Parts: sequence; C-alpha cells; structure tokens
Amino acid sequence: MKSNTYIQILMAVSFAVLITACGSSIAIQNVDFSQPLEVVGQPDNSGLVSDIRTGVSFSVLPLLEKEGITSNEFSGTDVRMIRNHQGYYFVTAAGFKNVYVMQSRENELRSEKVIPVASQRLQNPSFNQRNPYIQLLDGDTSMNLTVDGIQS
Amino acid sequence: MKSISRINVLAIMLVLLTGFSSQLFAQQQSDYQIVRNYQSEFNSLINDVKNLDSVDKADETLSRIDRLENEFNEHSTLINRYIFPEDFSAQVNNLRDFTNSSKGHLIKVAEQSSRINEMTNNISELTSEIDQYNRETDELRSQLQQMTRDRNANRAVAQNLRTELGNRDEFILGMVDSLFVAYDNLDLGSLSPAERQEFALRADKDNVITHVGSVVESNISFIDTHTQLSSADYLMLRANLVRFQDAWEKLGNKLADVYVASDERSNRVNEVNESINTWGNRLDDSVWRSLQATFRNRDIQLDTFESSSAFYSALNNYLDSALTRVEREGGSDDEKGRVANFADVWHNDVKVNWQEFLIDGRVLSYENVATIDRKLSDWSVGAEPRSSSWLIISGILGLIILVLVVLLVTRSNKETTVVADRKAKK
Repeated sequence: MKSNTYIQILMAVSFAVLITACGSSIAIQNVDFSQPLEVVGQPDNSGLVSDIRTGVSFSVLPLLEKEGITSNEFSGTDVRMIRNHQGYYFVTAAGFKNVYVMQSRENELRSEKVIPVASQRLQNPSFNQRNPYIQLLDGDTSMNLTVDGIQS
Repeated sequence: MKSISRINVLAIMLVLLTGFSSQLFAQQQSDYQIVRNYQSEFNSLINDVKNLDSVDKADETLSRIDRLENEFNEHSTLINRYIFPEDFSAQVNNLRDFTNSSKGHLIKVAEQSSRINEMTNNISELTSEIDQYNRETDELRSQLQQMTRDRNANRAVAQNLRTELGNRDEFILGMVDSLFVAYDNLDLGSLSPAERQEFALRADKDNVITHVGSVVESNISFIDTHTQLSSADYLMLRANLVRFQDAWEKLGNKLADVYVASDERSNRVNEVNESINTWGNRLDDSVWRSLQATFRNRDIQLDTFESSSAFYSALNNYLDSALTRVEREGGSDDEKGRVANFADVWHNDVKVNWQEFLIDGRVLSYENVATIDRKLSDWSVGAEPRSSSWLIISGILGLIILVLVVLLVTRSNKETTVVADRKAKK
C-alpha cells in the first residue's frame, strides 16, 4: 500500500517536471542591439514618427507633452532616435531639454530614464553610436550617455 | 629678442589650438550627417555621369570621384553598414568605371565630330571651287557661242572648254572621294539609337545630302547645256558617273539606314538616287548618240545601240558580217579598204582616245576589246585578194600539163601509124 503511494508521488513529480520543461522559454545572452546610425524623421499630422529602414513607428506626442511643446510648435522638427547595445532607445529632438531612454515592451516604449542634458533647449542634436555609449552632439557640445545618465 | 620669443610661443599655441579645434570638430561630426553627405555627393556624381557631354566634364567628374573617395574613405566602415548590401569601394569603383566608359565614348564621338567638321570644311572649299569652275565653263561656252564665225578661235575655245571640263570633273571626284571615304570610315553600327539620331542631325547640319545633290544636279545641267561634246568627252563623263555611283551606293545606304526613322530625310536620299538615275540616263543618251555618229561619219554602219551590251553586239555583228562576206566572196581591194577604215577608227580613235573611259565607264571590258581585236585581225587576213604569182604558177603548171598531154597523144598516134604500116608491108 505504502509502495503504491510512493510510486504515485514519483509519477506525479515526473509529470510536473516534464510539463515544466516543455513550457520553459529560451534565453539568448550577449545580444548587441546597437544601431550604427540614428533614425531621423519628422512626425506626421498625428504625431507619428516612422522609419522605413528599421520599421519602427511611434507617437512623439507623449514626449512633446512632457517637454511642454505643442504639435504646432514642433511641426517640421526632426525627431532623432538611436538604439544602444543593450536595446534601449535614446530619443530626443531640437527644442527638448532631455534625452529619453526608452525600453521596448509589447506594443509600447516605456521610459526607463529621463536624462536632462541641457539647461536651455537643445538646438541641433544628433546621436552617434559609440558603443558602449551613445554620443549626443549639440553644436560644440558632446556628451556620452548610457541608461544610467551622462558619463564623464 | 624677448618679444620675438613671445611671438613664437603665441604662434605655437595658436597652431596647437587650431589642430586641437579641428580634431575636436572632427570628433563631433554626426555619423548620420557623414552618411547623408556621402549619399548626396554620390547621387550628384551619378547624375553628372548620366549627363556627361564632354571629355572635360568627364575629367572633372573623375577628379570629384577621387575627392569623394579620399574624403569618405575613413568613414567607409560606417557607410558600408548603412548602404549594405552595397559597398563603399564598389560604389566608388563602379562610378569611376562608368565615367571612364563614358569618357572613352565621348573621345570617340569627339574624334568623329572632328573628322566630320574637317570633312565639312573640305566640302565647302571644294564646292566653292566647283562653283568657280562652273562659272568659268559657262563663260567659255558663252564665248564659244559668240565666236561661231572664227573656226580657229572656236577650236581654241572648245579645247579650253574640254580642259576646264576635265579639271572640273577631277574636282568633283576629289570631293566625292573625300566625302565618301570620310563617312564610309564612320562605324555607324557601334552607335546607339540616340547617337545615330545625333549623327543624322549632324549630317543634316553639314548638308551632306544637299552637297551631293548639288553635284548631281550640276552634272545634269552641264550635260543639258553642253550638247556638242566629243565622244571621248562623253565617255570620260560616263566613267566619272560610274565612280560617283559606286561611292554613293555605300554612303546612300548608310544615310538611308541612319534616316530610317525620318520619312522626310529618307525621301531626300531617294531624291538623290533618282537624280543620279536621271544623270545616268541623260548621259547615256548623249554617249550612244555621239558614238553612233562617230562610226556613221566614218562610213561604218553599225546596228542601232542604246546600251553597253547593244554597242558591243553592234561591233560584233559588223565584224561577223564582214568575216562571212570575205569567206564567201574572198578578199579584194575594196574589202581591204573597209578593213583599213574600221581599223583606223578602232585603233586610232577607240583604243587611243576612248579605251580608258570605255573600261572605266563599264561600256566595254578588256575581254570585249580583245575579242574585237581578234575578229578585226581575222577580217584583215581574209580581206587580202589572191596573189598574181599564184595565177602565173597555175598557168605554167597548166601549160606543162597541156604540153605533156599533146606529146603523149602525138606519140601514141605515131606508134599506131608505124604498126599499121608494118601490117600493110607484111
């Protein structure tokens, strides 16, 4: 009787292990997401910025709201975005005071970090890929950025 | 001294500062802007290569390609990642290859253009000289008409007219040769449709067909207005016509090929063809009429002829009839006179003055002339009357035979008489 109970427990444990093994996800480590060049594009009438090469498309309106800029004021301005080796998107534009570090989720980009980069507003920003950093240029100013902020 | 050393120090600092600034500036270039600048310059060069229209522009474009390569070579890795699957070196090399190819083609076109310009100048010069010769010829003809009473003077002017005519024809043929040789050497087959169109427009500009048409029309006019030329003159004109026709056949086909897309210009080529036919017909009429008159004036009645083959047949028929006659009737002094008359025309007029033009004008071939020579020789032999010595020898032989017969008969009679006497004595 007792031996039957052990056998039943053993079978239940084996089945549970089998089920767990079948449903586990595969993780690939040390992936480099860095884009060689920044994406530059102007938003359309609905605030949507699209890039043909990467296929990324997102609305810039939440960022404008955060920066306190209206759509009309922003019209004709380039949004600049680049992805670092970790897979974070760095987004900014002329007139912004911050660089937004965004993490991609299911159908969304979520702000991971907001890096204040200018006391005044940026004039003519651009990103360069300088792995492990993202280089931000604005006129004569240059700074290296990571997800943690400005690196000295 | 102190101030100089201060200046030196300041200068060194300035140089260092400038170098540092440029280094700083170089570091602060936007990668995106570098790629955009490269693409912009590359696309501009592609457009320039498409629109190259001179060797100088091709050289200038090659220099720009070199500068593009030097300027962006250090960013080639970055550019390669953006323009993948293409490659910076491949793009630059392709650009250079296309430019060199276009440059080679432009050099070829420039050479052809230069040759056409040179030829056009030659044509213009020759045309003006032809006009001059035409004027002189007309003037001489006018003088000839005015001086009808003075035969000696007429003869001198007529001689001048023929000399001018010969010079004029030499010029026409010189022009035709230079024109046709120059165009004949152009390799039209290697030209694209657009280039053939361009060539057609250039040929229009150079008035090639107009020049050729002018030469043909002036020849027709010359034949129409100079109706009293000799047979040798007409045969010389016909030889020139044949050379002209041969040359035009090549150029006309080329031009017709180039003009295939244009009805108007094709029609102009056809008009020249028709004019050359008219020229040939008018000239042939005069040639046959003059040749017939020449033989008729020497009491040589040839069959009527209006073509080269009919002329040859007429000569053959005349000689064949003579050969049949001497074969049937034997030679005679009259026959010898006819042979001498024909031989005089044949050897002293036809062969001395006409043969070159008869051959060049494709009226008779060398074989035709040899055949006539052989038949004339046979006629000459057959026309000789039988020799009188042969009659004498025949007479003597007949006399000897007669004497022998008489002797034999006489002797036979004597023997018969002796036998009869003996029988009677017995």
